[in-house]
Amino acid sequence: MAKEIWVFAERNGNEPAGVVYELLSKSRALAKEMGGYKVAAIVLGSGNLLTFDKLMEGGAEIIYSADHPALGDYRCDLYGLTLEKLVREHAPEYLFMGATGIGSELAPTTAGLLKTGLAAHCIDLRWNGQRLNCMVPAFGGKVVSEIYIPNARPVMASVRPGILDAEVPAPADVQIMSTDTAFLGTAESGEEFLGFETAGKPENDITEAQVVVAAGRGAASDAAWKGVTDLTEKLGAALAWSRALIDTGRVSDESAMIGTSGKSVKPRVLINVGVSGAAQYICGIGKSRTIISINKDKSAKIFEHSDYGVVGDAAKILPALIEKL
Amino acid sequence: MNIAVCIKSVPDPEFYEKITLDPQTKRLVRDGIPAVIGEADTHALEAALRLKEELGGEITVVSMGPPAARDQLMEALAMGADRAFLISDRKVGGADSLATSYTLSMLLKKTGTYDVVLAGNESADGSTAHVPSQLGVWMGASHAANAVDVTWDQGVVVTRQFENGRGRYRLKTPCVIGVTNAANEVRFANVRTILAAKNKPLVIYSAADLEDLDENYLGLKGSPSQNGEVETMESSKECVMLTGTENEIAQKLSDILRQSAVRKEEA
Ligand SMILES: Cc1cc2nc3c(=O)[nH]c(=O)nc-3n(C[C@H](O)[C@H](O)[C@H](O)COP(=O)(O)OP(=O)(O)OC[C@H]3O[C@@H](n4cnc5c(N)ncnc54)[C@H](O)[C@@H]3O)c2cc1C
Ligand SMILES: Nc1ncnc2c1ncn2[C@@H]1O[C@H](COP(=O)(O)O)[C@@H](O)[C@H]1O
Repeated sequence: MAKEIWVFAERNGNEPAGVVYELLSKSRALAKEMGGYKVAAIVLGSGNLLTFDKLMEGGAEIIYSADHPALGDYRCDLYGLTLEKLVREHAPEYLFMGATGIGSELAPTTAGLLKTGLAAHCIDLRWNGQRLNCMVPAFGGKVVSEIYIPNARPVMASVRPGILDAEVPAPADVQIMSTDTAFLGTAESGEEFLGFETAGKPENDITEAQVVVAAGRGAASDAAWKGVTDLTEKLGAALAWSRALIDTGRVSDESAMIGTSGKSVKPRVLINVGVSGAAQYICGIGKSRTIISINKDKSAKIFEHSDYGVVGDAAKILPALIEKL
Repeated sequence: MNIAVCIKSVPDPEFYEKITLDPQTKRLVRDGIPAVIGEADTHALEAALRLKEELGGEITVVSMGPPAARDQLMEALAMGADRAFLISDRKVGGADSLATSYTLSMLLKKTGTYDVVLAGNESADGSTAHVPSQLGVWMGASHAANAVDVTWDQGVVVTRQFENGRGRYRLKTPCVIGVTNAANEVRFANVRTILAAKNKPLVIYSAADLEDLDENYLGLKGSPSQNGEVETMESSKECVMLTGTENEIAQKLSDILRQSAVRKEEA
């Protein structure tokens, strides 16, 4: 076993995905606590060189690169085989990735090939002196279980994007290891890539925003909705919502939905308008610094998770607030 | 076209708010919560029904769970599946996703050969979203998760949802697909289909009925990941309630926002 913590460096074009920085940062902290571990970034693709600088800045001490045209377009089976091969050759003790679209299927695929344990979409990774506890929400976020992997190696975990902090650690001396990818020349894929449809520009990126206004079912009326959109604009905030707001038909997609099946936000200020505070929703707001909630029901659960609460009708409070800003 | 659908019987998510932790035993108290078919599984079944309408064939639903999971399989038969198999045995209990998918792969092997296996992308309770991919690995089949669209065009064509868009792929059969709630609108069972379900085959197996089971991959013992302590998500926040007239509240809110330096001109 190598005393290495591996982070799968998912790519977004020539950039590592945001969660890669979060994982590198967390891994460096764990490596220090556990003692004697090195943190490696694993990059698969075609033209990997372009990402190396960013991975070094992000804190990788080793970069394992598998560079091959067959890895140019993501295909789960070839990515899985390549990761499996790398792990078998270098035997890292830990392997982490983001619980992204790619990571959430590549992680179980790789764990299946290696017959090792995998903790799903963790919200934290904690070293307790003896073992790594992977904190996994279950039952819609109502409970969080410690998952650990006593014997099988590597210990694998996927981590929800946007939850860990990405402090940039001091740059390290980086060792670059390229992998023999000749086997990909003859490897057959069961997946034929047909095409990619890019989503609309992420002008409303709720995961990166410093201020987020989040609308729930209680903000669906015309009057409350106007307050929400006016406030969002006035504050230069990002606009997010709950699942129930989608159900009302006021908005139609999950791109800005907060929660277990949506995204996690960590703004300096989060303003919940007409959100009741269901566990599935709360799961996505825990990292927000200051939470303000407006709800007309004084016993709404959302207040238990807020720093400031206002009991009242959003349709009246919001216009009054906008006036003051 | 032979299609299999994996159905998991789960405690009804409507009741998850009521789950508590017994302070003595540290066990979750979830008594009295009724069981339902996982929501994503109903979308997997719907995708199967649509493939069958287009291409013909048979739909088999499979599950691993307690004997009571039979009710959820009956429900799936009422929605239009043709036959159902349940594996129920203490030996397979306590399984993590690797062990669960192993057992399901062996149940599928026992019951037929399938061109397409559809599963919910994630279960409602554990919701690891691992089983579809790992089932694919055990079966040696191609597989895709996060599917927001499943159709047939010289092979199964799936659309995978990613952060920055959607990718379309044609998968070789046999294949396993994790179907999300976004993939389709689910039909309801009606009286006629519910009555018809009573005459459809539903078989319950024990571990002994499945040949060549490798005990190393079964149940709790065959699970590389283990559960430690469980906590319920309670908040440690102290909420300051802002009171007064609307005008006063608005002023206080504005002050708080200013302190947090969030106004556009200051940010
Ligand atoms: C498997 C599963 C996954 C889920 N995943 C998610 C998820 O990722 N994200 C998510 O958000 N939900 C998710 N849900 C749904 C979740 O359980 C809740 O139903 C949802 O979060 C409720 O949204 P809400 O608070 O906007 O609506 P409601 O619960 O209907 O609450 C509306 C609130 O608005 C208040 N209100 C009404 N009118 C006004 C007014 N004029 N002014 C002020 N307040 C007002 C009411 O008092 C109430 O508290 C999931 C559910 C399941 C089963
Ligand atoms: N015990 C089980 N029996 C049948 N299907 C299951 C079981 N566990 C998981 N699945 C299937 O795999 C999907 C994903 O489950 P999970 O990996 O637990 O999130 C579920 O939606 C089901 O379709």
